[in-house]
Amino acid sequence: VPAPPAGAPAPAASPVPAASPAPAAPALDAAGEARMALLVALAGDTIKPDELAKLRPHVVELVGMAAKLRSTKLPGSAEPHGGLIGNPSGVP
Amino acid sequence: MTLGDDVLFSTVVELGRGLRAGAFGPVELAQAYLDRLESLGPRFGAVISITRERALAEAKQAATELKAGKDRGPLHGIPYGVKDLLAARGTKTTWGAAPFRDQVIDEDSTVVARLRDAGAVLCAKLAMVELAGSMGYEQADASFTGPGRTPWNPAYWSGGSSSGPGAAVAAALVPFAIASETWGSIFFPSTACGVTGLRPTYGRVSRAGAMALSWTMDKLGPMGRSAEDCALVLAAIAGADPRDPTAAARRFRWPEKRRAGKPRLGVLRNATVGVQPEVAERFTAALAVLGQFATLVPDFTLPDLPCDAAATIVIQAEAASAFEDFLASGRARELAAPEDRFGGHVGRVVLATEYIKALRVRGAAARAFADASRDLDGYVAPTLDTVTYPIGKPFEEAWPKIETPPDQKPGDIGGGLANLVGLPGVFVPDGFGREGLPTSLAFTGRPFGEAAILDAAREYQARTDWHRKRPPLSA
Repeated sequence: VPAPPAGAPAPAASPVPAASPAPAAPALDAAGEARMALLVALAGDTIKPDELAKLRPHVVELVGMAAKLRSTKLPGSAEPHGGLIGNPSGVP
Repeated sequence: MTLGDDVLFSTVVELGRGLRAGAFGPVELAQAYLDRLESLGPRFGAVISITRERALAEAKQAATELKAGKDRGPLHGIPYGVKDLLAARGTKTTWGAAPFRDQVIDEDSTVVARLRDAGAVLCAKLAMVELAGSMGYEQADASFTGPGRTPWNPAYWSGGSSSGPGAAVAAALVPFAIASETWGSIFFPSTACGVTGLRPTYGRVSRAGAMALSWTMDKLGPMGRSAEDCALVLAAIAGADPRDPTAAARRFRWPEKRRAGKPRLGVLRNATVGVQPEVAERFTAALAVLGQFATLVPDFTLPDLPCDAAATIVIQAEAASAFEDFLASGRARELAAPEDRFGGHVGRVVLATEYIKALRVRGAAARAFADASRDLDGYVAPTLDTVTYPIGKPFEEAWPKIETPPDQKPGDIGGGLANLVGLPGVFVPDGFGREGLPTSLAFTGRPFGEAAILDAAREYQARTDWHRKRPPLSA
């Protein structure tokens, strides 16, 4: 079963049941901690302190997926130059 | 005359026949479904608004036109519902979320307008997971209308995020419904509710007037009682639209001219590894039926790329942008699921380079899939690895895990690649598994190859009767 993205009904990527106590905080490297700090700054007071602990596993998961993407070798300059984000002129 | 279950569980094709034969009229038919939406809808958490006034007006017009000899085609006079992320004039459009429960977008989305032009009768705005699941829900109770319940066993989830369309079609509250899928929101509820779902190719159907979750992954498509019905609905809603520049100017006609020769379908490699035994049994039985009319190509292998990770990153980043103001406003705190009140913030810390890398992986995956499927009409696999989940448990704990050796992972059960690159899919009931809950067979096609997989699904349904089964609805 794939990790559940937003919008997908697949089982949760991190086993954090609703209304359950937050699990022990998983480890993040320095870049991951920086991301966590950014999230805290962006969210401000829209997130409660106990929810930050519940978000942490999701940030860990995000960091893991990003690492997976980073380690995927693509042909770079041999990739088609167009088609990545559509035609910026708005004309297909 | 009261219309009974035998009529209300009919397909669109059969209802059309009844309307044209004068067995019942559009108003009588709409009235019967409206009454059923009212009486049974709450039992399954399937309905947000019943559009009685509009439905009766549209049904009267359909009746007048039919009497005058004006026939708009196969959907003329046929009732339907839409997931409540599609705007429709004169109704609320709540996106399934408490903060938007009074929202009015007083226009018809393109899909609703096209169905109106095809003579269909809008009867209801149907329930859905709040904001289509974009905040990362982890259990079924994630809508201001409560959890959707499958009519096969209301203690179990009707799936998400199109929870209402699934339950409403399964319980014959409407003959068909319009749903959406970003990743899973058509195939999961189709399976959970034992109905047929069609996820069109990305760009096949305009999203104008639909809530945006992920601009590059959102798709709209029908759920109904058969592949044939889904095809007829697709023919009415597909096509270019100036209000959605991604909507392609490609025609979809149904019935498509029958192609010579058998359909060629890949069978996903290791498709039954790690799935519930009953799901595997049903898939094996489905293959035996498919083998009667299709050429099955074993061991179809998908590109070895991190499509699930790429799809997750794309959705998280795009949803964080789509709901940027909402997240900043703090109104997510009003959402039903506790985890949705904060989960959407994660997408705000996706790096631009990660998003771009995900798009590059998408391009590579699309090219690799095109190569791998060059000689095929599509491939088949179980739609889900389990039956649907019990309400009241986190998804993660729904069913015991079945270990899968890393070298035997089948790949795209769960649709990461298919949704990342926008492939069409048809999902049809293929039996029942644990707790008597439905299982499902997925046909995944090549881009804009809906006709080929719909044709194969129709042939499968001509040889089986799983799509004809009715859930036990007596009190």
